[in-house]
Amino acid sequence: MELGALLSKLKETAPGAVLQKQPFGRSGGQPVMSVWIETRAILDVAKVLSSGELMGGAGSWALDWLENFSVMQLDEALVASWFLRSTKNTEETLILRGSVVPSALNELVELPSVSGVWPMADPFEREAAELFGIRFTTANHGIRHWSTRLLPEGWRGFPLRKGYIFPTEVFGILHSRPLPSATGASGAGSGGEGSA
Amino acid sequence: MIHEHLQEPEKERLRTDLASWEIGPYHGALPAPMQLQLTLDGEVIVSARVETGFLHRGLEKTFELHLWQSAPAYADHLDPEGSVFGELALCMAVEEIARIDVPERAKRIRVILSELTRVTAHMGYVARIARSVGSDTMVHYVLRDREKVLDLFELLSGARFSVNFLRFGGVQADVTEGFIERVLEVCDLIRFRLKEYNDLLTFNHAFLKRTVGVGIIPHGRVHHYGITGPNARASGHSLDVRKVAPYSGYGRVDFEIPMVTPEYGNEGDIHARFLIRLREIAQSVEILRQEAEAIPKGDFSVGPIDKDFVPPAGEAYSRVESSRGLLGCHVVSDGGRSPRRIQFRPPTFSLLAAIPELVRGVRIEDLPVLLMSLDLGIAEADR
Repeated sequence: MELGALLSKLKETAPGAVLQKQPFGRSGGQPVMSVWIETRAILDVAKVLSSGELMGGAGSWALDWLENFSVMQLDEALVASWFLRSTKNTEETLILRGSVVPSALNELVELPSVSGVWPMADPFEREAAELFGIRFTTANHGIRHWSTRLLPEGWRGFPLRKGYIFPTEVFGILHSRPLPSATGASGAGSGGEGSA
Repeated sequence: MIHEHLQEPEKERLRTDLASWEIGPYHGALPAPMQLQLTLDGEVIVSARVETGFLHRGLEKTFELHLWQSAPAYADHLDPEGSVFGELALCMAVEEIARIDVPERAKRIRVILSELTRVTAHMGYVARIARSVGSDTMVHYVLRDREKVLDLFELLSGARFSVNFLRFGGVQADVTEGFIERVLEVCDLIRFRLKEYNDLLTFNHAFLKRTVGVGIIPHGRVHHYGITGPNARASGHSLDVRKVAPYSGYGRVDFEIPMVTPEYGNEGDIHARFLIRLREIAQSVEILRQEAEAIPKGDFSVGPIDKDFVPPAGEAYSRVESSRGLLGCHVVSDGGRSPRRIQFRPPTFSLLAAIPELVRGVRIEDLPVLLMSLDLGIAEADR
């Protein structure tokens, strides 16, 4: 199914969920499209796309494979990208995008978990929860909890956020080494107050 | 005939009080730092929980703190056993953002390096699985031969692991004198040795007993967990990025994707995963031969990438077929001197998620063999 038709149907099935579509990257070959969605509606959108009910009913190319889930910070917003693909036709691909804005540097933000729809989302969500400070919510308004694993117990702050201030000391070990001059461009690593 | 070796651990369950075991994070039965929390009924695993993260190095944050020029060197450390794949995925994404056309010679060198890396990774796999079943002769034979491939890396880059050889727009240097001839020699050697490996282990009675029908990834569960690479192909899924979305010139190479089908063995078990690696080594040798014989003259790079290199604002997502499966790389540039975001999609993620289901009903003595058979890349998963 052509993307335009898919989006039209998606707008009918999940009203208000689709915000806009954009080409992704600079791909010289077959253009890959990204669709910005209302983040709160990601679960509804995920259910529709993974079932394939919009793509002819038989699920001929349902977007049933979450190949990748990536989070990045653009200005103040955390932008989540869900890279979807069809297992039956691996050329069919779509990138869903949504954003959330944390109210403060160390404030958690909420994002609906899609691991109930795409089980392979679990390890990605687990990592993003820890490194970006995202609280993943479930369909019944619960919150997904994982034990801390990447960062030492008691670690404070979310290292992959842009405003993250590196601790000057961690468990008695000094971490105040000067970073290369390039760090000015990324806006991180200038020392500052310890947070560990 | 192969099915005569099937185990029936469920019959050995005692159905008494359950015992809890914690193995790891550092344990000889584990392929890498990770922790398994097991519940056992006698010798049979009833349930399992996996904890990883002990190798987290903050790699993705490190990219953001350094110049673009440094990024390939860090991508090299994504997976010590498959360093070239991380470099290649990153370079392809950056080259797409910066619209850099990689010279044909450089593409061929990249393919040669990728396939040599796949051969070393798979030989390492064969050695590990042989060690886990106590076949020391096989371990020594395979590691002896793998040294020949590592010699090639040293000849090319000066390093035996972590070659740090790819650059945006090509490779660091042209191939050294005699390198191509040595690649062809090593291809001949490995083709010959594969028969030896096959004779020693593939249908060895003790090996079959430990591997046939154990740790089966059913065909239908491959997509559930998003498993890719040789483990998926051992369960009958043919997805290979080199075929479905050819990159770096793989489209011109004549090769088939090895698959394990029922006539070759038990689909999706440890033995099938071992078999597929042997067949992939043979396939890589064939690709290497084609590429080495057809390498064109020309530039190996578009030019030096120095500390002032800054790709324009934009983003790209690249995919390569690493020795463990689909390795993705999402790169975002804001036009600054450092990457805005570099994120990797490691194939090991899917396998970690599948472990609890895979080990259920398996005897504790088979756990090390099963874990080795999955070829977990904890370094790439933890980053």
